[in-house]
Amino acid sequence: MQFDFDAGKYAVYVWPAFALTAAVFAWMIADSLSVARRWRAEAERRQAEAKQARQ
Amino acid sequence: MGARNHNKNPFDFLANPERFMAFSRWAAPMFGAIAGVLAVVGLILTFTVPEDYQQGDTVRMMFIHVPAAVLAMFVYLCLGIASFLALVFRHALADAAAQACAPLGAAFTVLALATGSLWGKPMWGTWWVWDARLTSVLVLLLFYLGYLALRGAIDDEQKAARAAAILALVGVINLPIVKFSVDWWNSLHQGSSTLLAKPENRLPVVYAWPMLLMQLAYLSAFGSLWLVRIRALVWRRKARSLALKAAEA
Repeated sequence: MQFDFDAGKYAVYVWPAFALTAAVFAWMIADSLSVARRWRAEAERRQAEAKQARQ
Repeated sequence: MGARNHNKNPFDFLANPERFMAFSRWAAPMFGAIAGVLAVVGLILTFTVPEDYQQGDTVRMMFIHVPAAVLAMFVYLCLGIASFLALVFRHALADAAAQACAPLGAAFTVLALATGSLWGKPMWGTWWVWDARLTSVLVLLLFYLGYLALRGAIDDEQKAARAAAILALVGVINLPIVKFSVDWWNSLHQGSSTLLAKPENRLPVVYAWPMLLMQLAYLSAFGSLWLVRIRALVWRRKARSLALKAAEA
């Protein structure tokens, strides 16, 4: 098995395609996790406040 | 008896938010890990297969372009089914599933269009052509963006969900047009070359493996991120409901 990273005259098309794919995946992962963390923290905060108010 | 029959509904398992949260808590990271492993092996194969005798090294772009294009359509199908269930059964989790699909589907569609364009320039001699496949995928992107814009534009969440669900269902008509556009019209875009295609059009086995692995990696990644986003919407709903109760008290 030998890696071939030399795209020759097509490198100007091949590498931007892979870079863009990596960037879009990075955005999808970062955005999904940050949105989930934000709303989980908000729900837990509200829940703690409601519990405190009941006591 | 009624309750027992109700439990036989196949959607019941995930329609219950608590059961969904318990399931997705382990399923989301599991799909994410599977996606990571598949992507690493798929990328190793991507950069070790020989270059194509016609396409040269641009053949490696197929392993990131085709899965993105397949996911662009598959995610829209999920959006359509979830929107239908949300409209008919008025179930909040189905609506959350639809809402969680849209940004991911739009991202996959942007990837399909951009990587296709980067492949098209050296192979076709042009970045873009108004041919049936490319144009119908652009229309698909516009449906995703329209869905997101509609949800963001209407303040009343229920009205926004209903209007966006109707738009999503209208957009489902575009899916067979995207899929069969290369068969129905003369197109610069090549026809299907997967395992289901005619034998003379099928991918050589050496390219089929990286394609299959990358396709499964994209699918698992979507599964993981979809669950994470639905969980976020469930928490958001809970936070808003608690905020409303606090305001009423």
